[in-house]
Amino acid sequence: MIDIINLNKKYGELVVLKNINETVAEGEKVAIIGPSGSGKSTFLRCLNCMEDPTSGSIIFEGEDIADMRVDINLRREHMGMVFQQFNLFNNKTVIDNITLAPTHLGLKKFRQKKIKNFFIICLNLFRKEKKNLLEINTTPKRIRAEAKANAMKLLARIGLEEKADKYPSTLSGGQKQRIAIIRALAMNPKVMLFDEPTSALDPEMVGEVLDLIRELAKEGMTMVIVTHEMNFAREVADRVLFMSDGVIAEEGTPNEIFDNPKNLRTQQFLKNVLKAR
Amino acid sequence: MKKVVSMLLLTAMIISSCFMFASCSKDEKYTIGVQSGTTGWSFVTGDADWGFTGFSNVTVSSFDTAALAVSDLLAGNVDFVVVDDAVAKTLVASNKGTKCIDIPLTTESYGISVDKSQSDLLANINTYLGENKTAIDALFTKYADVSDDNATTWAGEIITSATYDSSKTNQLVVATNAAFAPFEFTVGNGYAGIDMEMAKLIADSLDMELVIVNMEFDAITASLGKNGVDIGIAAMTINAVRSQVVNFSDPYYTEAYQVVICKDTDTLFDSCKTTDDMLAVLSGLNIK
Amino acid sequence: MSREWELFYNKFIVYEGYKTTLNGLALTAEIAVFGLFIGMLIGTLIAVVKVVPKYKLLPRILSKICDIYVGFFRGTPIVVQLLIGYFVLIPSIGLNLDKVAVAILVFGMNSGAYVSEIMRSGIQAVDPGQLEAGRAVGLSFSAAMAKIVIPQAIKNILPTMGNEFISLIKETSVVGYIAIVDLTKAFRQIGDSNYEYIIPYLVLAVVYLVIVMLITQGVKIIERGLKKSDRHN
Repeated sequence: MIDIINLNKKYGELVVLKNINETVAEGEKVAIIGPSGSGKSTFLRCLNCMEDPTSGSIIFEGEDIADMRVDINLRREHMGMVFQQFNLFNNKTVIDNITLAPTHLGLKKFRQKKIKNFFIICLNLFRKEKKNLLEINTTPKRIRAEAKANAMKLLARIGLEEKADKYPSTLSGGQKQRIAIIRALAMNPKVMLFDEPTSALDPEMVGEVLDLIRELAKEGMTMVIVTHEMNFAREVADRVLFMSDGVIAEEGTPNEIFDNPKNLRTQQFLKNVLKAR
Repeated sequence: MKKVVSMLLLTAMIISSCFMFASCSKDEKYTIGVQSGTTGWSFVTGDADWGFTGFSNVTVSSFDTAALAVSDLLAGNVDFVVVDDAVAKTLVASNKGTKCIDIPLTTESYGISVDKSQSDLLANINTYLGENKTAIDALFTKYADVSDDNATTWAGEIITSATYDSSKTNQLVVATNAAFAPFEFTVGNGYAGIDMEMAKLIADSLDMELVIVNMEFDAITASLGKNGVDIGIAAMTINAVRSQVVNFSDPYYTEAYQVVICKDTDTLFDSCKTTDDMLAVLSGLNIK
Repeated sequence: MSREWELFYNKFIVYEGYKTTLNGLALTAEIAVFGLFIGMLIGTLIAVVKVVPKYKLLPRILSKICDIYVGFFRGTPIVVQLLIGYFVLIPSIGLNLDKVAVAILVFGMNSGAYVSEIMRSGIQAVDPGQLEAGRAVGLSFSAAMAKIVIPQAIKNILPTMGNEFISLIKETSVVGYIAIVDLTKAFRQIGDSNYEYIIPYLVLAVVYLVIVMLITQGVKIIERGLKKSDRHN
């Protein structure tokens, strides 16, 4: 689903990602682990161009989205991202958080279609072969209502319907992150990108967030997760990438990586992580 | 609450932009430009102590100098300017497109204002004025052809001001508003004009060093007696209200009067011959 | 002192000079309020232009233009801008604008230059994650700014905007230069008619003080109201 070809990322002189080549297949769940500073988050953020690659291509839905000429906003509608710091919109209620993008973008497309139709009608006066009008089978009211209904359904899924009209500042970290996840889901993405989703949470709340991600995984969502939760990675991932110093040092199935790491750095990293337990 | 506030702000912003363009074409009263604090200002605004009824059918725009009023006249924001006659002739000479209606609106005499606490100085000045009428009249002839154009390149006499020194007792500090050709105007770092030369003559006759302080016209009367200012010479009309605050010398010019300056294409005053005609036209001005 | 008070009272009450001062107060408020709105509009636009990542050419050109604009309006005294605007620019374009409209324009543009800095710091004070999350979910830069970042930025800068409004009220005292009879000029004219300035100027200062205090209180109330709407529980 996503092909990463010769991805390089530099911040001035500092090289963060070196010539990375990877593929994420549809339905695949890829976990990325590694020490801090290895470029995990940068790599993830390059996938939806939150960071602009210095060179290389990211092929998604048949297009190289790293190319500046591509309209990245359209592509991002099909990629959901969940941040370490949740990043819920503070000035909007929970339900508004979830419905903001679907409503705004739905209305925008509706308006664009209307304008195009207007021009087609005008130009049809001059044409012999009349061009057909674009089909518009919805209204602004319906767009809003559908977005809201979908949002309530998602909230019901995580059991937080009564929080719909509350502001994010009143919620706990676990609640915020779960709402952030369904905010991303509201756009019906093809792939979900998780940037250390539980690293900023109290230990008690890590579980509820991981449960939700596990559910999504079971439903077949393609996902790329940067995480420090080794047990979770082992359980959920189809493939684990170990990154170090800007390259993918080792990759394989969870069993291969966790039980039989071949690379020296992987071994060192896992030893340190397991020591901490 | 937030939505209400932001909607209010938005509508206010839109209103303010509409407002600006709407105000371009308003039903307006006539506007008369004057210099703040002068007789012209009192004449148009009305001053019970002076006997002026003013013109309530007209908007008054008071500027810091008469020249600014005239430039606003040319820009079209002001319909007429009311100012002293000699100054009017100077302004018209240097502003193409204006003309002066030489019919007196008032009768005035100019005097030198003297700090009330200096009665000796007042007496000395009056003595000088009494003895040197010819010299002073000569000044009027000398400056008869001054216009604002040649005022800046004035090749005649330039009066320089000494620096004020509070410790010196023989300095004559004169307050003026040097934007009133032909009476007082600036030339480079010095001053010229009827009033300025008269100041020099008076200072010389009293054996005093001349210091000239240039300020806003309406500040002159209030400045006498403070910070060493002794007298004010600024084509100032003698009137009762001012006389309560300062002493006036004997008049040195008795044929002053206010006149109207208008655009030279203006025909409003063409049929006027007397003061009463002018007053009638001015009081009769209605919405444009 | 009593003679001065008598003179002032005479012109103020008996000769109904208070009407001119009330009119002047209305003009001062009008110029300040509308100037502030225009300033906020311009300031927000400039701030956004400066915050946009400068990859393409257009943002860079716009950013340079904004720099020149801000440099001019912050580098020259407001009086000079007012005089130039009224006596130089407007006649040369041939427009016949009302004095008050010119004053509002000039004060608005001047305020815009200062507000742009305030707004820019307000925008930068908003957690960058907010903009990121907005863009990650597919919103364009301008949509994310308008719906998420700027509303939060405005809340950040509200006290400073209150200060800006107070500054405007005080700055409008120079419109007398273009013959607008605002609050200051109205009192000055009372002084002119009596040649007695002590009482008029003192009263004028007190009036300004009262106005500023009222505005400060008003800003505090609005701030409190907005904070309350944050704590929806």
